[in-house]
Amino acid sequence: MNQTSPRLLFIGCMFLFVFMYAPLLVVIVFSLTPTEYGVSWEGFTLKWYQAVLDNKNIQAALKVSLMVAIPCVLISTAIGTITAFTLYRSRFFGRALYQGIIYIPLIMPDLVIGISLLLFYTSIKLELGVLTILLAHISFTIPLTTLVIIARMQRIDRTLEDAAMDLGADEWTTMRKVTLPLLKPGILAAALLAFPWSFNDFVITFFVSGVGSSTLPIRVYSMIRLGVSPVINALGTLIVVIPLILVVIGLLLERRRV
Amino acid sequence: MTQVASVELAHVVKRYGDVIAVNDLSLIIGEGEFFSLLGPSGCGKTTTLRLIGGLEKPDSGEIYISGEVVNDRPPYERSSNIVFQNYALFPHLTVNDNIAFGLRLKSRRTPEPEVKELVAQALELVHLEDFGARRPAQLSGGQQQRVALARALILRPKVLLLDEPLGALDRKLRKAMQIELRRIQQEVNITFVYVTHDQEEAMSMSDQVAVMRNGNFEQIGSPQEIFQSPRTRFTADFMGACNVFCGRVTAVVAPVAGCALGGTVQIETETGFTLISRNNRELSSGAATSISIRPEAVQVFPENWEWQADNIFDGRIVEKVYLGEVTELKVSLAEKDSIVSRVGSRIDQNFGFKEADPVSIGWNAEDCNLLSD
Repeated sequence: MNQTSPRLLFIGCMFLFVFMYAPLLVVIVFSLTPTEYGVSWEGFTLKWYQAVLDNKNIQAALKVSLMVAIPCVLISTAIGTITAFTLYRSRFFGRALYQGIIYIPLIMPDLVIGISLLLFYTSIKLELGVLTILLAHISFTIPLTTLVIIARMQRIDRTLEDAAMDLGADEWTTMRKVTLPLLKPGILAAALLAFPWSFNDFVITFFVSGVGSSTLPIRVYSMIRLGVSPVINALGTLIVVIPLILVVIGLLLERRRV
Repeated sequence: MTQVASVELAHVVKRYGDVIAVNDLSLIIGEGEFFSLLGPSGCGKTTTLRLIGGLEKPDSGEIYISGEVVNDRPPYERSSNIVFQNYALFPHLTVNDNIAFGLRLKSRRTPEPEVKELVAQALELVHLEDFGARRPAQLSGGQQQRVALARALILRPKVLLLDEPLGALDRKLRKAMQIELRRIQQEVNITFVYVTHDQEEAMSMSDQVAVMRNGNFEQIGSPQEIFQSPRTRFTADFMGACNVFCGRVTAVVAPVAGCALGGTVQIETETGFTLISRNNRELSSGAATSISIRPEAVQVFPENWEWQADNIFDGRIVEKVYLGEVTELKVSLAEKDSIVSRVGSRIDQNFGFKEADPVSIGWNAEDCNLLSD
């Protein structure tokens, strides 16, 4: 048993890598070769990347995606922080129920969320567009940000706040000088998780986006319907590689600071 | 009394739901006193401390600091500071910034050069001059403890509240810190209220000790009083006087003029032994009482040994536990009674006591203590 389990673990890891990253590798490889149809390597080119940069539709969609994702992250992180504070700190009637309810969207099918939001927005006569996408994204990222921040909050020693108050800090100063600085990693993590959730979402966005307000995933989907173009391979590669580079840079900076 | 008490509690009650944590406590702590709250966990000693510090609000009763009622004052408006059990140092700040935390707050507005000077003085007081730039995580437990102390003392509180501050330290360090704490307390001359469950700690540092049990005070007094004359069975047991006998006074001997020892009483225990005890409760003949004897006062010799003591009995060793400096011998007197003795391990080795050995066991009347319950 002791002999075989590391090997089993190794095989398991290999499966994960093959099924997760091999398809990704295929996309990257075919974004770098001029083959337009079919799957064979015919030399190196960057022309599909040029096509991505030149594509006005993609540019417009990227703009919409960022117009949604950035405010969404800011707002849902802020609301998540406040919600976490309230849930963790105050005792009020129905608190446990409220805490349960807030996590339900995490396990609810996107399809159901999408349809219900669509029905809701149409019934209150809200015109579908960037605003409805933003509202939808804020609503489904709040449970995530709340959860991440509460998890961090539970690890903060409450006596630190007692100590701050004992040393003369009132409630507000204690929050500003002790609680928030200690919560910062949690708030950052929440924001970092919420961003891809918003940026990558397809299903819910599909229901609540209007004409002329396509986010990047929606745009990619409508492009695929006209046939898989290597432009999409290039776009896909960029979407995967650029955040990866940013994360690596972030980690390196973090390490240098310590 | 013209002097204002540093801390005063008047009929303070604190409940958590149905549980009464602190039950009608009244207490006066004098200026500059080192006062210990001693008791087992769950006896309400930490709650009492948090009530004084303002981290808990009493359900009824009054708390005074320097003669002022502070019931409705939040912790940040009280002239008391706490050294927490887990130190509660801010992990995101350096030692310097931790210590300067209170000084830099708006409510104090200390100018920065003065902050620097005071922090340097505080670090010097706790012998951590070279550690100012470090983070708490880079310090040992003992060093963190001293930072917590400096952080609280720098604000010159009227009362310093310490919640088992030495609990997490190893024995040797704890001993050194006990002496250190006492030195600091005398140097700064601030009232210390010290919570501990360690009787030795309370004995070695305090001017006054309050033994607590179930949210009540069992006994308040000097360390000597508590140690030598515990009033209740609980205090006696908690202070390590584990030999307790119940009985009735059968004769009273009045004090002899010029003799250091006061009057004595003769007591017949429920199990039929007759003991001579000092009469520290001024009991009269016929009174029911119980009596405690500290194990180190009980001497053990081989059987038929020629020696003198007020109470001598024959017995048999039933248990022997080596504790290092001392050896604990449990000696059975009759079928029901047994008495625990602590003899120096060297004495034990010289006599070569073994389990089941018959012995002669005894103690003096002045080592007996009459209890009130």
